[in-house]
Amino acid sequence: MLFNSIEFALFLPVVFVLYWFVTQKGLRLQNALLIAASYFFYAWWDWRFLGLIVFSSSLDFWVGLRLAKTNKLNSRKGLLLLSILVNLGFLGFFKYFNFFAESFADAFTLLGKTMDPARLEIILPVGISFYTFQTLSYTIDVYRRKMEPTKDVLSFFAFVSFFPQLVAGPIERATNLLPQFDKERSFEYSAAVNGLRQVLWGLFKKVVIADNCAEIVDMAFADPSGHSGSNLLIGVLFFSFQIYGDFSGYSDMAIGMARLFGFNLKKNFAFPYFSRNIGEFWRRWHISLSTWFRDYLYIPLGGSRGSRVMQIRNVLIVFLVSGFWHGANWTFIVWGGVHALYFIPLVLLNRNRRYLKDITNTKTITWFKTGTQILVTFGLVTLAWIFFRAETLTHSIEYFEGLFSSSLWEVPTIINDLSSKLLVGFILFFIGIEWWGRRDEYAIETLWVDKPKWFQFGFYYSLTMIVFLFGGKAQEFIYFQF
Amino acid sequence: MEGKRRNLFIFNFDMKKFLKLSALFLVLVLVAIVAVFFQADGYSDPFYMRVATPKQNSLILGNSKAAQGLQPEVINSFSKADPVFNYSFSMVHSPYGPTYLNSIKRKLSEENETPGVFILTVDPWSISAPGSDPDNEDLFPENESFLNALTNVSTRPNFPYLLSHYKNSYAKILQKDTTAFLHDDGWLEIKINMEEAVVNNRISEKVTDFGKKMLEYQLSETRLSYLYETIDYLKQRGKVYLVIMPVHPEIRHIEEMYMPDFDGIIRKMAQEVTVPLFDMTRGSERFTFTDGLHLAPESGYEVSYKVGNWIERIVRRNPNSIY
Repeated sequence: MLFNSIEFALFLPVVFVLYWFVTQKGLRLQNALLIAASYFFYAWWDWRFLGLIVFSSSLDFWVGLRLAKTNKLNSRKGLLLLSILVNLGFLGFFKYFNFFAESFADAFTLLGKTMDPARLEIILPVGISFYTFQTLSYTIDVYRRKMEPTKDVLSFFAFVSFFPQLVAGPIERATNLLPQFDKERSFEYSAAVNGLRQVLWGLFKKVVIADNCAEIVDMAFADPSGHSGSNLLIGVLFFSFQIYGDFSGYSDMAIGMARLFGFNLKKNFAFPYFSRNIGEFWRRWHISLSTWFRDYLYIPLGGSRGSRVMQIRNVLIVFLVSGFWHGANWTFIVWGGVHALYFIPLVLLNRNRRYLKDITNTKTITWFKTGTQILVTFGLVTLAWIFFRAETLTHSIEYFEGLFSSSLWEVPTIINDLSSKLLVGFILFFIGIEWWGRRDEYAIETLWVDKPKWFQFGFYYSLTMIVFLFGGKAQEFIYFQF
Repeated sequence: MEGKRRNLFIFNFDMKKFLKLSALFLVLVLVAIVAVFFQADGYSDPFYMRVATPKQNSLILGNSKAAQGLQPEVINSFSKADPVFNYSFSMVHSPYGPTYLNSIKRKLSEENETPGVFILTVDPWSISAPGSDPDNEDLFPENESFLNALTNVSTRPNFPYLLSHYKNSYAKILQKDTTAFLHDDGWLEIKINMEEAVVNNRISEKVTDFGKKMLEYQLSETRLSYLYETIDYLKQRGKVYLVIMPVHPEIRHIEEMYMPDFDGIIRKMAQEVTVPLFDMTRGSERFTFTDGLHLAPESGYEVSYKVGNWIERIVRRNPNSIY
């Protein structure tokens, strides 16, 4: 069930009404409703994989309780290891089995022996990377005694399966989201309106920006050798907006919807394309995943402590693993590697912690310098997206070859009809609004909120009609496959 | 206690205000959406009007060759009977099979006091299916199409179609792009650049495309039996005519390579089910095609005239025949 589908448009109000009008008398009843709704939401794709979520939830709930009962280090380590092995085992089997089998066979072929990879017809369960990391964060935090384990099974199951963020994040930390299931929620008008506003902006990003960009991106990537360099440049630029619109749009919708039910989810994107270096980009892009890797991988590896060599090793590991998390394909690993190469010079020059504050709070930087830094960072990120979007490494090399050919200076022909020209207009509007609202939680959070009610109403109405009239062909969210 | 009280009275001022404003917003959005849907017409897409016009008594059936090539207005000028309606879609949507037959049944009016006229166009693709198991109807591609999903093909606006199957952005409904126009009688009129070089380019693209298709497709006995079943069903409601539409000689050549015994299959069928057959592939070179497959409107007029004239002659010759 996609957020931008008719089924979901019917599902959400039904759950909302049941939540606030039928089950409001008891917290546990509300949580039970959320579990039922979330399982229904998930089963809409494939009910067979519900068992995986139930199993992971049961195991980690049990591990949490056991961790609370023992102080023996070995037992605690064993319990944590069990949770990690089982959760990553599922993830590894469903997502990476064929990749390893094929890579193993390829390695044999390189050694001069041919071998048929033992491929399995495995369907990737939607959202497995997201809920696995979410539930792992719970057992790790309980193990580290950062939080007390919950004794309420309903709260825990609702935390793992909460439908707004179940299939594509944000990857919530147990320390933030789980306690919210134990607290009584009350309906607040301003939070609900704020939530709907964020859902609307997320819909605009997804349906108008991402889905429309997808058509041009698909054309460019389908046949790189058949397009001029300038067309390929447009293709990858549009992909930058597609993936941002798609994923941050989903996150906005998830966060906004959670507000309707009285929950606060963490911010997942903070206007990453206005970053001035790669370090800042990674503090603003897919924040819930970046911080997950920071807290559960980078810091345990030693982080920025230790020798330069260790620092570089840690950065490299984190980026490669992060790339691999996105998909079982060498393209994602190279994408992670490229970002590591962008990032390592900043570590060596001690510049990776620069720009921790908002762009406009920095008074010493000139507009020219800031603008150049933003454009250079955006350019680097955009080039790396080629690996992310390409089907294979050969495909990405073909794309690069076409891009950096003499035809780069030709007039692009890929934007040739009214709808693609209109899309350019929408992208410019989108960039303008995002720039305007870059200090807020999301771009239109405070846009024109001081204007009369009828004006605000008119703006939201216009935006809704733009979403309805100019929405592109419905595409699945890109991050569902991860 | 405070918390409990608030819980019991959740329908508070905040909620009332939220629901009232949300409902108002939603109603205004729905009104605008419905207003846009009422504007949907022959410019909106190449299929919509066929599922948004009243039920019919007489139909032209087939794929896009018939959709663009047979003009009901011209054919109807030969007859005083119920006008024929072009209910042809495309190679993907309407090859002969369970989906198309069921959709035809839905499009036909319940009461048929006067016998209808049914012009069934056939080509090798209309009785073929892609993949290694062409006889397995569960694998037919049109199972996923709107023709299978729509239970109602005669209301305007057709909300299920517009909400779930309309492929363009809804802004297209408000534009009047004149490249393609689907007439109320089901004829799809295409107005595109007909300069020789451009047309030749389109023909060579189609030739390449069909060269690939012939490797993917195979004759489907299941489709063939559904074509028999369709004819049997329609014969109970009126007179059935089989037509093989003209195509560009290069496409014809591919079709002959792909299914050399196609003519024989159709001739045998026509004899078995006793329906007249009009093979228009001979003399195809006299017609103009937009891309080798589809007739240009002028040639479509000519072909429709010939079909209308052919039917009229048959009816005149055998006024009480079973045809």
